Amino acid sequence: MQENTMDKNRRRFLKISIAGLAGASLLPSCIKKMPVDEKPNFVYRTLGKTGIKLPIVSMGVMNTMNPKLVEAAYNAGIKHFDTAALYGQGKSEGMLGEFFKDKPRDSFVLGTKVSMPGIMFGTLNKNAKPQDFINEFDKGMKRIGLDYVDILYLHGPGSRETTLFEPYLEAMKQVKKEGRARFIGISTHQNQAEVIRAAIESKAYDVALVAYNSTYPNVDEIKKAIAEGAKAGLGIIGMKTVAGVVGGGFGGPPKKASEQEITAAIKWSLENENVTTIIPGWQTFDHLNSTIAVMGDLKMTLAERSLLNNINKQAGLFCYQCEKCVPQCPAGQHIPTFMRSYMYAHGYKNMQMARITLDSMNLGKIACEDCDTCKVKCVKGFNVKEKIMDIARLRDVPTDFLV
Amino acid sequence: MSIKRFSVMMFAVISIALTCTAEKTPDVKSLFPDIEGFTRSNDIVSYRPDNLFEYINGAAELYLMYDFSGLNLQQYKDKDENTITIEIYDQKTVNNSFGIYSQERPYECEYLDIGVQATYMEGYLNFYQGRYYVKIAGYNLGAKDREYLTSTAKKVSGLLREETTPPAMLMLFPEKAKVANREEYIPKDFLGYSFFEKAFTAEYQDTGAKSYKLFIIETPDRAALEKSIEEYKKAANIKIDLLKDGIHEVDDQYQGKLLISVKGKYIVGALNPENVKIDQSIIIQVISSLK
Repeated sequence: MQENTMDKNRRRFLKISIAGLAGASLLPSCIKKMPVDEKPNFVYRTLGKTGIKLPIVSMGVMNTMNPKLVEAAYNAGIKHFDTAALYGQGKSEGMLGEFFKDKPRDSFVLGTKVSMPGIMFGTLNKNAKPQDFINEFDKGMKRIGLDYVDILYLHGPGSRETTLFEPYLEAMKQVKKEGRARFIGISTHQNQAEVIRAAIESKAYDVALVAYNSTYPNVDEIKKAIAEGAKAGLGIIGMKTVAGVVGGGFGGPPKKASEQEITAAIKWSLENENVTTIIPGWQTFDHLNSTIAVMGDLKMTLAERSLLNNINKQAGLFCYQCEKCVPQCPAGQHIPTFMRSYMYAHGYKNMQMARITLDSMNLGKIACEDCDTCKVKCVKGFNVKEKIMDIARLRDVPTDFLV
Repeated sequence: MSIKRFSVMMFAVISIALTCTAEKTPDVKSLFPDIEGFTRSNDIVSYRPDNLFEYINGAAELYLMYDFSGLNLQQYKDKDENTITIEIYDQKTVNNSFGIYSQERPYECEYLDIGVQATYMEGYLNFYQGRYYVKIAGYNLGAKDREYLTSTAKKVSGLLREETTPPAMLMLFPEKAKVANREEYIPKDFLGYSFFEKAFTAEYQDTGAKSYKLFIIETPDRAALEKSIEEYKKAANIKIDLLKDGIHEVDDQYQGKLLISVKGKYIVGALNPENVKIDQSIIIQVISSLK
């Protein structure tokens, strides 16, 4: 039944696309009035105070170095392309720069990210200077080969402190002032709510690229922060929108997701009108076409919602790895690693990974054995002691027996 | 899950395992050398497929495509807080370690004989060896950057105890007219099609110095090859019989013109951009070397 709906959507999309390609002269007069670069079958939203109008589907260029996929997306009407110095260690930037070098500059919006030491983990370098950031940015610009990028992000801050880290924020303001980046922003995978609020507080950032999907245990808080950001004029872009269904985004190992699951996840993220656009990373033309087709019918069906609810329940088994439990344990046990091991054993039946994860802690005696009452309050409500004692038994199994 | 169910599951796992041998991996600590003038600034940090994104965010997805199974990293600091970070990615096979290395190999850099091959640019040295992809980054090392990174890389290479031979498939690409250091390995979704997997590519130059890509796809067996070709014909709306002997020119709606030939379980082809004159003898040479 769902397959049929997808097929219908795709057929409708292809039909409309062909009409679009046939030229404006063949379109009804009401559609002619639209700006020439807007596709009639696309949905557009405005990216906060930047004023940039974008299709709600953009392209994340982290999974492919295939310029033909970029070309297909561009020709289909995708306008915004997202990359980073970290993707292919700069090759993604180079590939996009090569593709866009002869395209009209106003026909695309290019965002890239600069990674700086310590930003993702909060281990900030006290000797850091704005020039350090600018040097890295210059390397990226050389690879891209354009005069400017549209959005420049600080890659991956996970706290207020790293978001507001003065040397890099100063550097970004300077680059924007020079016109080498039209807008500046942050991308964040962790503690999204805190980072968004810090971006608002900075009064400098224009855009927040936020990991956003239904499986985050604190999704309501993220939604709230997104709403605050949108109200303050911050342009919000969603990423990791399908990570909940393909794994890797909420603590679960990667798995192959069905097309229905992916469609449901995309629709869920776009239901939030404060999210201007999302950046799925296609690897095939089929995925590109099916994602674009979602714009033709954004309403989530009951079956899709039920599918997502089941995935959310499954995600409940996974530790969010927020590490808020770590300081609570009087014995200093690294509880998130135990929880990951537990997830491997019980969620994915991968005993070898469970054991490797346990062994990575070089454990001696399990401290829980001597604790009468566990004081740890897990944000997901896990009974931490019970799970640790359960999974710790795996240490008694010879590794040669585990596959 | 109850303890009873867990015990039943464990029994099943152990029973199955009695007929198998678990994979042995070297002691992680033994892979990280001492670096003169630097001290280890933290314990070894480990990442697995489920949390690699916490370390490298969106870049993790490419590593996962190459069957990433674990990352161990160690940071070192000197008295002035200058740092060296060693990252050792376990990609399970040399094809995969080469694959991710090839995706990150810069076009402009110095190539070194460390591991199978290393690339050096100021602040960064990457190499692959056996199942491992190693990345060493220096921060603020100044004039000694190259010296520190190369000497550290050589030590790590010695500690890995892995072969320093490239993937065997790379040997199938003839040297004549081949552009150095442009080979790649794409494990899935090659050319943007989900049915094309495990493709090695190399870049060649025609007589006018224009470049094009040659590719070899190894399928599991002939039946799998025929299925892939059938799906390709359907996706690209191709009518000709690609399974027949010879080199066929096809017009792909996304890729443009392609040359394709099949032999046994292999698909050999070339992306054929406009105005490039492909020397078909190179394709014939590849085909004749396949068994």
